[in-house]
Amino acid sequence: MSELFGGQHVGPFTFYYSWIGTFLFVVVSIVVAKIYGKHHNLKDVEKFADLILMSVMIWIIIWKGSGMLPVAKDLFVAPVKVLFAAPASGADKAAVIAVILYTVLTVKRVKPVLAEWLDLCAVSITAGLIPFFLLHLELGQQIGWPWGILITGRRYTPVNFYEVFILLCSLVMSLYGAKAIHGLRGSYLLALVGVGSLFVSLFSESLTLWILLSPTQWGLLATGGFGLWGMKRFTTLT
Amino acid sequence: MRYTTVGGIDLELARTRKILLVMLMLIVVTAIVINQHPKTLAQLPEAGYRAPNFILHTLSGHPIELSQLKGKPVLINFFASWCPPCQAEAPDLVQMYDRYHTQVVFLGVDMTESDSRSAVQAFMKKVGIHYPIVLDSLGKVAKQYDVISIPMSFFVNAQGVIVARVAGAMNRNSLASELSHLLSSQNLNAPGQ
Repeated sequence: MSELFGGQHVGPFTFYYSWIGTFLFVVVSIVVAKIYGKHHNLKDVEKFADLILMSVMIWIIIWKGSGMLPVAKDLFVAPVKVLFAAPASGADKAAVIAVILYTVLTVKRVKPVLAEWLDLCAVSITAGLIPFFLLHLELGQQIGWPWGILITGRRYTPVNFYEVFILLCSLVMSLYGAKAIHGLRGSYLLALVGVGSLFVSLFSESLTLWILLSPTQWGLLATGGFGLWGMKRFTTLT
Repeated sequence: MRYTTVGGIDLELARTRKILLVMLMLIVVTAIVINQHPKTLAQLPEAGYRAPNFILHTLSGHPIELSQLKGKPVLINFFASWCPPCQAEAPDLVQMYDRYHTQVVFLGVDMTESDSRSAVQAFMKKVGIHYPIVLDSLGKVAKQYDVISIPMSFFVNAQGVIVARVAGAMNRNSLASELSHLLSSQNLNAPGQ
């Protein structure tokens, strides 16, 4: 599985497996959102799918464009320099902020039934993250177990495969275990993913700590907490 | 989840929620305890890990070992003389070397497996590269660093930890921002070293 570290060459271009995983994330998320929306007669499913597509486009444009913009004047003089320009430092963070802003504005404009979009979002994104993590090698702490990924003579925890297992279990548990009440399934899934992925994070490596936890752990804690808060509302409403 | 409603409260859902809440709290406490322990960083070609060590020779046969450069931030640039994006990037690298050579060690790694010594020499002369270039004749270091596309650059801080891995040709702006990020991360501790 250490081959996942690399990618495929097509002519002068190199496609990293992690990029293929990201592409599959988008495709699977949209397909699952449409199937789930149709099956449960949800409104605004197309607008939700458009939101995912547009978010990806915005992310790519800002991420890649950040490196091309400073040398844009060379487009006709040295096109290779412009086309192959590496993204600017911090471009990914700027792209994420732009996507968040776009999402907030879209939600304000479309005014969807939030409980429906919560289910759609949780189910489709979780489903999309399964192929994403399958192709996105993430190594954790060194281990001696035979399932560790062997790289440069040492075995490392295959954190991404642990993540796939957790996501798959959470998705199945929420689809077959939670009542089909708008908002409940999404909340339950977020709680499961938050708890499960936070557990997986114990096997990963992170030097950056923000007040005792890593940034990822804070994010997962917030996800789990949000899911549990959502579930609380349904304990009395059902 | 089964649904047993008593007094308007879904007991099963409430129980499931309580179990998940307890699990979440236990995992958070475990994470906090684990995060306090010093970690031994692995040698991997990714940001946040220790840069894998290597010994390669310059065109004149002088050996350069990465671990010997510890204590100084290093920019490792994988390239080949025939690669158009590398050719586009090289003048900016030279310019940045002139500006930063007192603070950062610049090291070019030529993918000699797909290149030739004479082509590298001609390329260095043409662009005016005067920072050290080492030859990866067998492609071992490129494999060790998972270099499947060029140019690819690694910014390694004074503690030997990779701060950034950049795929693609950098320009003056991106180089300057990555280099200042590298210099500002010099105080980053690399536990377990």
